[in-house]
Amino acid sequence: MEKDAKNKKAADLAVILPFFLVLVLLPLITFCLPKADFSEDENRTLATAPTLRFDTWKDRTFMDGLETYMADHFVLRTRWVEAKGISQKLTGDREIGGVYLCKDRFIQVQSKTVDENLERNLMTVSDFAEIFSCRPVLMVVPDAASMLSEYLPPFAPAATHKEEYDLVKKHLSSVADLPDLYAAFSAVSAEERADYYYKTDHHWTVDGAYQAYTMLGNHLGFTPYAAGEFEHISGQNPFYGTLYSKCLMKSGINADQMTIMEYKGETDYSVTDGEGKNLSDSPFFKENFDQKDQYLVNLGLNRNVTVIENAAAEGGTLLVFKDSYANAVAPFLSLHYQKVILIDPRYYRGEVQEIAPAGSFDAVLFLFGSDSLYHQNQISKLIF
Amino acid sequence: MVFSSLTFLFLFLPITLGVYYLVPRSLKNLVLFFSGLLFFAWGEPIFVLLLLFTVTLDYFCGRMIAHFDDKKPLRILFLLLSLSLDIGILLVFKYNSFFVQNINAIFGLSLTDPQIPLPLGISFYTFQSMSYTIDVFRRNVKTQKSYIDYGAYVMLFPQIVAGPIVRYSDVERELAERRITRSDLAEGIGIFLAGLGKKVLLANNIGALWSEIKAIDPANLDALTAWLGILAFTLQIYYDFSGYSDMAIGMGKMMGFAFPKNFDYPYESRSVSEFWRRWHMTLGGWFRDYVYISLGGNRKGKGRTILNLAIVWMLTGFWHGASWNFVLWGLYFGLWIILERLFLGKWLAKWPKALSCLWTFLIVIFGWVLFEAVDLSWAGGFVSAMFGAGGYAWAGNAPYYALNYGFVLLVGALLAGQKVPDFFRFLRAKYPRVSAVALPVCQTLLFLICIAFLVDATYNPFLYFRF
Repeated sequence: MEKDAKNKKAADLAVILPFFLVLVLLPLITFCLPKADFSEDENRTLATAPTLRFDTWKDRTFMDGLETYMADHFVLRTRWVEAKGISQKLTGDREIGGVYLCKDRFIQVQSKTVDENLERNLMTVSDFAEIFSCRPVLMVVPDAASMLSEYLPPFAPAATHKEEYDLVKKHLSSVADLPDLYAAFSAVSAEERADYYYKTDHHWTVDGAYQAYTMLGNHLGFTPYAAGEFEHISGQNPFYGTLYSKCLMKSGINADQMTIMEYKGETDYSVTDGEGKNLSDSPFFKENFDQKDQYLVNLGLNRNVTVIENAAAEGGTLLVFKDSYANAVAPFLSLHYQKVILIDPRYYRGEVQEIAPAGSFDAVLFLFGSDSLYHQNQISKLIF
Repeated sequence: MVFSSLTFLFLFLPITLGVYYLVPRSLKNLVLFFSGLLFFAWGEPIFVLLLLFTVTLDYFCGRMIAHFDDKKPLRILFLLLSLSLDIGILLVFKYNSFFVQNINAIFGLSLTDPQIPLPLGISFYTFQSMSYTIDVFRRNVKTQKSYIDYGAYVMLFPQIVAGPIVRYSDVERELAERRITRSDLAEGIGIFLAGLGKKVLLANNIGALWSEIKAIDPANLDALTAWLGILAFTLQIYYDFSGYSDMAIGMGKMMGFAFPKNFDYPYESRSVSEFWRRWHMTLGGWFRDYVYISLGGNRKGKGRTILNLAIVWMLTGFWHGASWNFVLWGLYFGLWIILERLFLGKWLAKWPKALSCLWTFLIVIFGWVLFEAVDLSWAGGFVSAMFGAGGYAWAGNAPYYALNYGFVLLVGALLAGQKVPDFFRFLRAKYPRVSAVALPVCQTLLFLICIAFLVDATYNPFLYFRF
């Protein structure tokens, strides 16, 4: 009997001790560790400790603040996220953190919302054409899910976005030029198409951007340079992009390599922001090869207005409305225009006429990723 | 505060348990009083005053009822005072919008909807507090003379927000005198972790599947996806609710309390009457003892019994939420229970076990459609989809869901019955030494995986830098 009692005591302690160890150690370590300010993976600043006053208690900002603070600085935060992803993967789940886990790449899950933003955005484009009496070029960048359906997990719903793009053609074919990347990309083999998109980031690679650039030549009226006229420059560090950040899993998926194509010929650049402040002497911000988000080598951080002037180019002024997909194409375009004005409607709140009055530009390009056009409303907020 | 949150697990719980274990026995109820107050005030900073009002009111009425021990009219007066104010507060804070909207609809008025916010847990703690005054009146329990002890009972943080509905009589003795044995502590930890796992790993993940399917327009739902969805919800609500109850019971045990069981493998029931003796047992018991029996139970003839049942089930449904679908849900079960009383019960007892289980399970599933119905036309549309109105199989994403959620659904299905837990109990008894090592290893692993999921839930990366 005494042995039974001893065994029972040992068995009970075996349950009690680890539980309290975890319960006490984790918060203790969390509160003792120095706190980081910014999370590269989450792309945001981390919470600061909340202050306790009667009003912050009453409206719950103290409590919510403390919960966020504890979560943001929890010890080994990113490792826990990765552990969760791994345990999901082990149970057969292939959709983790909003990202499809494919054999050797990530693919962003498409937005499932149904909204009227597409129609509103298209109306904005046709309004623009009317107000400025011009015929813009609208190019939609297909997302990886629609172009790489061969790589999606089995049974995954594949939205080709055919319905949405048909709507684009229906509304705009009379007032705008519509180079069709869906058709162009579908015409190449699956392996080649796979090279057009990063494996760990939702953007397209320089190869995809180059295809778009050559297609735009026909529509904007310039002769694109052949691939051989460019030097391929790659970053030395592995590039783990936005899709990696969504699930923090590296298992089985190789990092990307950030590559740009720099024109070997003559250029004379000056890159400024909307207020004329000098940013760089090249559309490539090469210091970002050493940052986590290497895609930022293309044009640097997203900002409301960027102006690329290239005195060595032969064309006039090109006005581009864009989201971050165009950042990879802009360096190519700047070879054919002396001035390229890039406006990002997600950040630009002024009137377009202030930056680009009517008649001050020779061509207009709307270049957006499919999600921005089909599901976001920033384009419709442009003020002419 | 939510149990399944980092703040509760790693701030509130270790500190509260630490203080509770360290203080002498005479101060432990004081710790419970203030920790309960703090716990409630965390989620409801202003409504904590409402909670204190209920505590003070019922403490006072309890003492008055005892004080006027031989004056029946006064005893009744204080009982009615307690009940009317308790129920009144519940009606005002929980059902205000319901009443205003329905009055407007019936009388064609346009009174403004006051939209008074609903204090978390009010349905639970009000019923707990009312059980005290009723039991004092019925002379089932002795009056609690200590305000702190009474407050500690009503505001016990493990069950103030989501039950089990612990009656004063359940813990009367333990409030005065309780011991925490090592064995209780180990057992409490085990139950707590099981509950945490049920909530975080099963309920939350299975619930994600139901959220996706529920968002689809029923007209576009194929039968396979509809069934998959409602089965997912069937598992989700069970694990969510029983998980929370387990965490409450586990924490109670860690502090020396033996709270009543709230779920007993309800999906193995062979009749609807049995289902409600195994699902949310403390609520069913509360309505039985304080409403059904007060109305006369089944002692006033068949007709009156049926009426009593109808009233009790209407109220049970209504307790769950301030809208008509919940009332209908309650009456739906009331109807089946009445039928079982009349003749159906005898049939079900004669059927083979598998058949009566399946029958009951299907009734419960269709009940859940009603329970989840935001509006009744959605319920109609969803049930039509279940019967093939939108096509049968393979039309939607059912195979994809099966792949992503299959594992967690399978585990959920296996653990919903007694067979698997019984098998583990058998293993534990047969191999005690291996179990003594395996159990804490599994429990710790479970704890760590739950933490991973909880941390992940707060992880929110932005594609573009947010200013």
